[in-house]
Amino acid sequence: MKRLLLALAILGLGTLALSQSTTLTAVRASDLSLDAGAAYWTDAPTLEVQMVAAQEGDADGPVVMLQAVYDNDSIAIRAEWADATESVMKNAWTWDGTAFTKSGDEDRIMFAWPIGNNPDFASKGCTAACHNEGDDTSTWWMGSDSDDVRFDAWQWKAARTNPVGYIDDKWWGTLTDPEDVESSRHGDSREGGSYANNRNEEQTGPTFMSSEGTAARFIVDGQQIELDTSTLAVGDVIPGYILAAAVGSRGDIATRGVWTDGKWVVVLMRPLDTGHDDDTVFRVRRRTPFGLSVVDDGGGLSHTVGEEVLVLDWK
Amino acid sequence: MSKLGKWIDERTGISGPVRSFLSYPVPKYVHGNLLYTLGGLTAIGFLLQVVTGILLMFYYDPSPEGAYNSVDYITFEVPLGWLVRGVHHYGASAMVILAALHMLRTYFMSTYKKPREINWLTGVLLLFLTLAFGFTGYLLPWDQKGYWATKVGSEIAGSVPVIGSWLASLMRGGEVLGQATLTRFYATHVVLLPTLVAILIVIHILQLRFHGMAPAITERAKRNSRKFVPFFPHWVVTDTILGLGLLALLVYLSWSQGVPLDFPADPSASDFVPRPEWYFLFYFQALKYFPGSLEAVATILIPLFIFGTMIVLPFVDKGDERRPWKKPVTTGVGIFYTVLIIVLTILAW
Repeated sequence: MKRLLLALAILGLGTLALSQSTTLTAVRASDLSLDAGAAYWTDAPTLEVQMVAAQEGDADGPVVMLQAVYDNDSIAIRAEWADATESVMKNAWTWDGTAFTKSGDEDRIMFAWPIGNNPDFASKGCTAACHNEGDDTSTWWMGSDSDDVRFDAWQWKAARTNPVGYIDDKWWGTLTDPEDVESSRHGDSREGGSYANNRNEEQTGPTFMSSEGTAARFIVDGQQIELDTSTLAVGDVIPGYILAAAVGSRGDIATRGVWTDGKWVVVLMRPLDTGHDDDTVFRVRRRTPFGLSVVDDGGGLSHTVGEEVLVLDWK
Repeated sequence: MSKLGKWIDERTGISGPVRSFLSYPVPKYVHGNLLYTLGGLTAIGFLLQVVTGILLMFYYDPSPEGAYNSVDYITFEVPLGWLVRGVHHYGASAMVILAALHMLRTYFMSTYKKPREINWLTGVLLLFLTLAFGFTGYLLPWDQKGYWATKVGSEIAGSVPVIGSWLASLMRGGEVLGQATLTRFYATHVVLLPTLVAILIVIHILQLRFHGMAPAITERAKRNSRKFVPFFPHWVVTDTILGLGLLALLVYLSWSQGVPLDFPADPSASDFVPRPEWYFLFYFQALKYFPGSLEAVATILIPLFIFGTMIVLPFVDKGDERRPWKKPVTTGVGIFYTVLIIVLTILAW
């Protein structure tokens, strides 16, 4: 009987999925927070994902180190990657003494998840959502070919969402307008907040400046004051957005990202089940495929991706 | 007897057969020997599979569109669904192990000999039907593992000379895996196989009762074989305790390991590397040694040889000797095949 029990025990252990290099294993922890230095991170296995250029000719990206922890209610993911420059001044306005010029972009990290079970995404990852047929890149789009298939897209944006502690939570579906490649992307439902362009009607300069002074890199909603160019010196930079944390499904992923010593360390946290139908639902022990993308001071097609389908697993 | 019992007995006369069944004398050398509990434990394992299988059927949707989501729902949403599915999942493996061990005990103790040939034959069929349960059940979640393993399995069937394409078509219900395949596997898994197994178990037990336990082979056992204990409560209590132990083990495995569910089946994911359930790994490994034109050797000749050998065994090995240490050929062959299966399984793991 002892042998039988041993055999059954070995059998049980043997059926454990073998941990592969594409698997991010979330471990149980308590008192989850956005603290990237929390003690529980030392117990969480690290998945290293080499980012490669999504477009031919672009440079490959960094290695992203991912970790994940969870408790009964929430999951937290920690991402760390090398980036020589901190890019947080997207569409910022630079004063030359007589006029403004707009410039700058931001760093980003993005996660894509299937909403519900999706065979295509599970075996192909983001490729299942990527419609990049043909040479004309202006016709490329991300989304699905069926109303029943949707993807949850989390965009951490260094300039527009990170300073106010949330991740831009969107979803991709079918093209609602066949002529508009952006029409498959939708922001999650929102009751308020989010970011707004800081530009005047003529789009020649900002409307507001920060009450915190010209050194402020961000303008959080409530800090904006009417622009007064007489207070500006040549070379002063005005942020391109007025920031406010989104309220509702759009802002249900909290984040804190810090750039120091040539690297970003970002922690994000979300309820396992947000209760919103435009979000993926995590269930402990249900393996969930996901895709990862990193943008260095840019956007659009110029991004780097993890080549393999990544899998979130639970321990 | 209670008033209700008396009322029922007056109308059915059931108390006689029940009393006879429960008071059946079991040789004392058998009672308390764990090797003789393997058959009972296998039957308990089958009952657990039936009970958990029925509970799963309340939620399972046997269609390619709904199967995966229903299994996912059972596993992650239905209260204690993970436990029911876990006991069913690990119970399937336990049944294979228990049935195989029971078969090995029967083989090495030569209890297949006259007049117990029919019991041996029903046992062989039950072992193969247990494996058929595993094969048909593997597809039902309609996940990657089940889909591709079944695809490979039906291709192996298709490689059988002459009747191969007919066999493959019979399994699939068409050219490709789809609704017809799932329906066939589901019907086989939940109706055909349980019915056959239940009938064979009844024949198996009736045969056991008819012939009694095989005579003891050791001197000590022979001395004890003249003493008997009633089936109830002695044997029933032992089997119940062991059955509860088996259930506890299955519950523990379900709780500690979870119950696996791969990603949903994607027929276009041609780079998926199919792997069968662990108890078919030895066969999966053996196929690798017979490539190309030799494939039929592994797909048809070897299984037929093994099955055929098991069937004819009691009609070939007819001597009186039953002590394994006095039967080097049958014992050696048994050990060889057992070791071979274990080694092939480890190689394929």
